[in-house]
Amino acid sequence: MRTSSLIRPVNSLIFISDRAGGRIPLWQKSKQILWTDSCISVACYPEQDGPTELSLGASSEVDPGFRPEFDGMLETPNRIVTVQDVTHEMILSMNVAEQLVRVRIWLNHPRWANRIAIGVG
Amino acid sequence: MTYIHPAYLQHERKRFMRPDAYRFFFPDWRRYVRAGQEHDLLYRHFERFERKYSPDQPRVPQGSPNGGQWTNDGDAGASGRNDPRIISDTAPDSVSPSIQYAQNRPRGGFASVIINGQQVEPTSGQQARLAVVEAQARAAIQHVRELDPKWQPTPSAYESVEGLIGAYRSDAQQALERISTLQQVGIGPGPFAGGSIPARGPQRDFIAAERGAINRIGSETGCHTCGTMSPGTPLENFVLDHQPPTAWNPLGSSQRLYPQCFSCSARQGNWISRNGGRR
Repeated sequence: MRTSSLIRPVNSLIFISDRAGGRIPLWQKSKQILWTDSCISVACYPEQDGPTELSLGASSEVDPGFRPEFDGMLETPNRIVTVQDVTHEMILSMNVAEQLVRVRIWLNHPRWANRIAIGVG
Repeated sequence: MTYIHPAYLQHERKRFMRPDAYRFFFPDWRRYVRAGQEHDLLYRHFERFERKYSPDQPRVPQGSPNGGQWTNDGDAGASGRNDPRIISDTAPDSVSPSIQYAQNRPRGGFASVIINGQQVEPTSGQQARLAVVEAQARAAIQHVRELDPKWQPTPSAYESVEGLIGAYRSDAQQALERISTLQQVGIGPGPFAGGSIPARGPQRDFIAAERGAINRIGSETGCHTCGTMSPGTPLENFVLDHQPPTAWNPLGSSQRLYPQCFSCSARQGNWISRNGGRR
């Protein structure tokens, strides 16, 4: 089921991982999406400039119809995909069937995305 | 009597000979001892260690050459290993960061220090240098611990007064490097910090006046972390950065707002999250 939220996350960053967290990728300048096997970080629209609309759901539900910026696998040992901010506060979550799931991320702008869709499966 | 493997006992002995041995010692260690174990080697070992760092341990009376220094029970003249930098008998977490290093200061100044069990009397020049480097190290470490209370310098070994001076210098240098590292990732006001405004609290519901003030400061002095004059955001607004960061404010210090660029803000968030910022 698709869920969404309008957010202004601290440091304009979100992390997609299993409920128990994951290995957060090292920061790299000017990279909007960074990832490890267990965590994906995504830079949102700058918090002081405006909100970001975030959607999480099955890929078929959230696919906006263009090529995703990220398409890879994520370890989910607890079978729950979560979106958290830098203080590990949960923003969105979704149950999944497998311990390794395909995740796709669509951004509506290559640098200043204010709509981010996270598709699972 | 409980059998304790000699290798384990040897390991414990070595561990408690380390300059930072107090880290392994808890004042309530007797809680973990079962009745009947009071004559065990390990029990006696801990008891000796407790006496060594007890605040009730007798000191040499004032007036004598070693006045104020710790001494063994009933034997004011005996010498033992007495690292003048380590006197605290409590676990680091229970001590306020601002006073912890102060507790490690040698009692009675630097008229004499004990190094490797030998009493050494520094020259007056060395005493002055010891006082200066110890104060510098203490101030630098206190500065680090305001942002990172659990941090402590890697202890240095020394066998002479000059070595002890070097050890204090090493502590200060490590503290300065740690501050620099934290500043680079946006922890603490950065090297380019100019003006700042008081934060109303940790919340991020900034008002127009605060946004305007931070943009004005940013246009004059740039990002407090990297110095860039461009915020790097689509609307050219600087990020209003709480310092200390809300997610990394271990002492609950009052916060101020500084201008920060988008890139440094993201780097700060990444570092805080990787290092277990507030959960």
